[in-house]
Amino acid sequence: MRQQLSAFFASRWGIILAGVVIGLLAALLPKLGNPPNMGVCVACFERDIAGAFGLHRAAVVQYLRPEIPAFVLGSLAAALLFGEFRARAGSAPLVRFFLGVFAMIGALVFLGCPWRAILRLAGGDWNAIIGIAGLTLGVGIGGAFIKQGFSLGRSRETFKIAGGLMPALMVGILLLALAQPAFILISEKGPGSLHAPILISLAVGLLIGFLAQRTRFCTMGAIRDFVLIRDTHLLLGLLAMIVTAFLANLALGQFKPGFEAQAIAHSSHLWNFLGMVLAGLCFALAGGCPGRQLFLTGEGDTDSGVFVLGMIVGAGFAHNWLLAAAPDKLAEGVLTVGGPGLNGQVAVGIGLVFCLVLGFAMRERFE
Amino acid sequence: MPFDRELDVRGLRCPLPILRAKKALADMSSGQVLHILATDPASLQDFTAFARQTGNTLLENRQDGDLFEFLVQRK
Repeated sequence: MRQQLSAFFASRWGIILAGVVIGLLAALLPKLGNPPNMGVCVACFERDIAGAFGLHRAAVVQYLRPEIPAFVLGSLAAALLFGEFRARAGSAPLVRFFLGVFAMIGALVFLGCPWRAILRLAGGDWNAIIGIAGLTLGVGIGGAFIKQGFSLGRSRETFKIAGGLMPALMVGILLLALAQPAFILISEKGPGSLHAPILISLAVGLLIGFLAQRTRFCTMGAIRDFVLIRDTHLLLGLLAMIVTAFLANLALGQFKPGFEAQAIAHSSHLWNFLGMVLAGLCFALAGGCPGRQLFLTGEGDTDSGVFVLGMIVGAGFAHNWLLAAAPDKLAEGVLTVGGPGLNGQVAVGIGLVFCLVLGFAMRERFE
Repeated sequence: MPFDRELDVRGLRCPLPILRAKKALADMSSGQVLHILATDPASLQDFTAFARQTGNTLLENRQDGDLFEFLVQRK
């Protein structure tokens, strides 16, 4: 039975099922209370968690999102059930930390990770097309570096307890989300105040984590594998997610086509593009989109755990130093186009230089 | 089974094992066999798809705990 299930999840229908389930649930969550076009956004939700811990002072984006720990714990359950939990470490953790920091900065200049880019597109936000174009270029550049021998080095087996550290942290976050002690900050207005009931978010996260671990669902990997080796396996999952989320948004009345004044988005095209170039490049060099990094963490990969921590710390800097973009504003019929300020623009430039230097400097010679 | 060349990609994650196998096979002659050692849990799925797409033959695959071994014959 376990072998048959494994074979199904590894098949084309397995990855398509994962895409359909993620697309459907991500479209449903805003109906149940999550922010618009943000049913599931790994970067946004990690940013909200950083805010809830007081790592940044943006009062409108502070909430302990249960979906993030649930992704890790769903993946952990799948890995344990199918005998794939392997504690590993030692593949350039500090470099991964900084890649996580810059990935978050890029994502917050666009206002979303690849998952949200897909959901924004499926909700009619055409700015997402520009973001996805940037993401594709970033992943393409990362893929070119990988083809030229870029590597973060080999990981090695480590103590099981080390692999369990991040899942344990996630259990702690869940307990805090349930207990809501006074030192955990919660937004009273803005996106952080919008959330689905906690048990529904938890169940959705666990299911997605389980399915994604079994199928290796990865939005960045979908583009990378197609660019590098013309493999369309992961791409099928990505397409299934877009189509399902689009149909679900249509059915739920959440499809609102256009560029301007979209929910929690800006129409500063250059920075939508460059933000996602940076994020895509970071994800490609680190070997997975932000969702995949969480699922790998659940499998015992401590290096991915360091990347996740880098993203959370990056969110703190992004808001404290005003690097994150502001959304478009529409007041009394007058549109004010949002986007990043000078700080954010400089940070994207520094991030791109950082990634390019890494890409050239960390190339292994191999036979 | 005898092989002509060995490739150790233990500790490397997708897509590096595939890319290195591709490069190693490109340097080999038709009919020669590459022995690959890997630890990525997705290796079996990846090398099966790789063989199907490239026309090389996956002669054998074995799993011993965390270690995966593959024999791929160059087309």
